[in-house]
Amino acid sequence: MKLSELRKRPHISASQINQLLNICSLQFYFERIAKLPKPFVSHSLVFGSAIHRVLEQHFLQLKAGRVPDLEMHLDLFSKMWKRANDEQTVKFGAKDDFDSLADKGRNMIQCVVENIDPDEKILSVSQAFCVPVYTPDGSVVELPMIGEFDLVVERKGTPVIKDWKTSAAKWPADHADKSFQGTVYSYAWNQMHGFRPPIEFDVVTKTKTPGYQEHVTHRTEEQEQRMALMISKAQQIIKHELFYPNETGFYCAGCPHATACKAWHKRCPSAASQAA
Amino acid sequence: MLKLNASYSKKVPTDQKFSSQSYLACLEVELPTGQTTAQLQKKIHETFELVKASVEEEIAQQTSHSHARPQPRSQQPSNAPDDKATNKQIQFILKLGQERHKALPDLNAMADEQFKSATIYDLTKRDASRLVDVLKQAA
Repeated sequence: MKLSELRKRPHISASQINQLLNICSLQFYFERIAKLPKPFVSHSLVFGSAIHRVLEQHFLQLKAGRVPDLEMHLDLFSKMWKRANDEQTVKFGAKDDFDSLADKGRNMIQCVVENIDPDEKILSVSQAFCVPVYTPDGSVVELPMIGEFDLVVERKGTPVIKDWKTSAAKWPADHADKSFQGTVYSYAWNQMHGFRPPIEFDVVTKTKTPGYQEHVTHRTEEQEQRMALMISKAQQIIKHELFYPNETGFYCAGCPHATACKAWHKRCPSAASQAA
Repeated sequence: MLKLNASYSKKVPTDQKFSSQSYLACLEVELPTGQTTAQLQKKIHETFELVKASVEEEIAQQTSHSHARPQPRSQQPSNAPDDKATNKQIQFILKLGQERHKALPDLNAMADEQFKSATIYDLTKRDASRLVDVLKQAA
């Protein structure tokens, strides 16, 4: 089943939990509960999405045993990038604009393609999953965990889950080991198949000459239990509406809900009742 | 001896205008004394979830039966609900599976073999109810 179909069911996702616990719980509230309209979208979101969709097409061709037409796929990126910018207001940072990212995107896709290991067998591309979450006390969380593996390959007889990342800079050595998304992928695969595969983050940088890194990481049962407890706590935060701004957040600069955030303490019902 | 009463009721609209049908389940269980607060809370939570899931399952079963009957076009809801099993139903299936030492791959295999659904999340409401019956019989 496609991810868009699975998403119709009330669910939990790694990005939801990451936004709630690591980015800003108030941003989570504005975006996913209050569903405030966004005056703009971040360039990194739109850019990353276009790269993903093009790589998806490239690997689908490879999986089908065809020779992908790289030029055609690079042109596809250019078209998708332009269309995405035409359809919505995209906010750029100080370092990039539409044109610079149009060039970088093409170079980055080429860089990923050049680093494909021909010995790896492609098992699936954009494979959606839906699995239950068990809390450490053994009970089942009502909402299932939904997500998508970008790519699953077989390397030396072992499945490896790959996730494509576009990043402003190279990842620090321990970044993959701490990734919540990595834990979710390992957990989901273990739920479906009964073992934990290696997780690989293929990071391509948005630098003038793209850099390419493969970060392989593994998860343990203990890390998955910790993940389940975090999900359980996240659900309590949502249930009790404990949303507040992350005042020193790294993501504030690109947050589309900055205006609502500034007025939050004046409009928050619990703040008003406490003041009374 | 401690006694725990858990009940759950829900009203659902029927095919006729301004009409609804009530579903109610009550369960009384005895709890052993000497349990900690956390143990009691867990038992209360589990019992309530069981009653709630049973009512939801019953509603889903009834709803799927009534949907199987052809309705006059004018009485069909404009936005018919998705026929997929609810999260409550699946939570109940997983709980029954846990009690019978069946992990997700086992339950998915049952869904595939018996209902041609790739996973339990692809089951229809009706087939989810049937799988619940199968699992209960496997006790």
